[in-house]
Amino acid sequence: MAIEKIRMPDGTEIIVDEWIAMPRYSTIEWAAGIDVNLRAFTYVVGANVPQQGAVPGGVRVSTQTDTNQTTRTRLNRDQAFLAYSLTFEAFSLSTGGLAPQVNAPAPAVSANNFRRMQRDLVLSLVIGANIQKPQARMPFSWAGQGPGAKLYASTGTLGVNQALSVGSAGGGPSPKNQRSWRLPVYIAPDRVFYVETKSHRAPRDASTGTLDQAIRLRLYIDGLNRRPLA
Amino acid sequence: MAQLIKIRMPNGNVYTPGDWTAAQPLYSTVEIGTGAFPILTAYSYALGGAVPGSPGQRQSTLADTNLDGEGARLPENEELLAYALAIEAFMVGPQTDQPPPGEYVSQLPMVSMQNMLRIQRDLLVITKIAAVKEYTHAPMSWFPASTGTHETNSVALFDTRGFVDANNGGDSVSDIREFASPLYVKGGETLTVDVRPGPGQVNGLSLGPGSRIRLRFYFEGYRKLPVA
Repeated sequence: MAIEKIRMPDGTEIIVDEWIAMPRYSTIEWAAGIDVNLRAFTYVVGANVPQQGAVPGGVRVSTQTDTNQTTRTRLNRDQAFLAYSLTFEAFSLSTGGLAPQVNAPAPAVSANNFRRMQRDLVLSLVIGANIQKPQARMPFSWAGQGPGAKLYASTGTLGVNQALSVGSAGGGPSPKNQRSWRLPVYIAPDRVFYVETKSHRAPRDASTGTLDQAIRLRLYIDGLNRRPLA
Repeated sequence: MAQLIKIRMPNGNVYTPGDWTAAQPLYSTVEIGTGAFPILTAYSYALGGAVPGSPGQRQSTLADTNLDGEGARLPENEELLAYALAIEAFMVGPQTDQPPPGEYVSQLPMVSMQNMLRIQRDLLVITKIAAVKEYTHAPMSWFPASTGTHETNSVALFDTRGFVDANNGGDSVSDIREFASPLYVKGGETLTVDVRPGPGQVNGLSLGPGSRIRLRFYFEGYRKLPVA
């Protein structure tokens, strides 16, 4: 049971809660060579991770590293969220690149695949049931990358006539590279919300620009999370 | 569709609700090819319209633009207070495997170093509001992308050739160039960004047949959107 309100003897009500800087995160996966259209923040731990296409490994039950949602597709009734940034980290589920000469072994995403995602994907934060208007919408390239691995490469290669090429968002993963909104977005308690990741790839790019790696994308909504005190 | 525009209170006061956001940049795309062209204009079309410069006048998608309405102007029920303009580039179309001597070739959708320098050298970016005055008039390189892919590559043994990819300026969020004074566009006002090649074309641009360099322009700022 959570303490939400304290009514004083004089009738005054004090609302007791705790605001904490804790991002909400959720993961989606899709196969190589397809146009993705998935929604994140739509499941809780123990449910299947949303997938599209034949993802290596098949259907997967989510764990705590996939999401920290406590309610499907909405905020819990005793929570609220003030979002000021949308960011992500990307992993590959298969080796890809320009095999065999230039490649990125899983779980690294090749630079070319990352750039294709930046070209084609649009992220939309939608709040409210049956709402078409997003509260935040941007091409994938516009959303900077906060978390991720910083790489340091030696000279030399993986093997004869092989080179490594790995990509991440511009500037390298860093909290300084998250794009913060000057006007935060509020998600009210018990309000439906999700982040749509959708490919709007131009048809003429089909033969020359599809992903050749299956991708796992963990999306973060960064902001202040209100939760019950106890 | 009914929209909430004004609320008249019983005492006669009128309130105009608005939904201001800083989480949705206004973006638009054009495509540059080889050969002469006078002007290509971003924001001249709305979502679903043809992308200027694209082969066969390709129909735009949400990856190309989020401008609603008729194009070339802000919808009547929106406003824009822009404090930055950013331009990013992608290589699209058939990839050439037979580059001319001395030409570095990047793999799609990266833009090669030489092609990036050519478009930075030859393209002028002119923003017009209300079709009256110019509000930006500078080479493309003046407006860094602030987006892009941070690449980590090992020593390349790609046949006998290496590659050099390029970005339009810095790829970090902090690399965006902010206007010293923001640009205001009111609802219904015309808004266009002209891409004009100074010499009449981008000289020396090396592209495969039917290939293009896709430029996506972003106005970052505060946008007032319809409430519903």
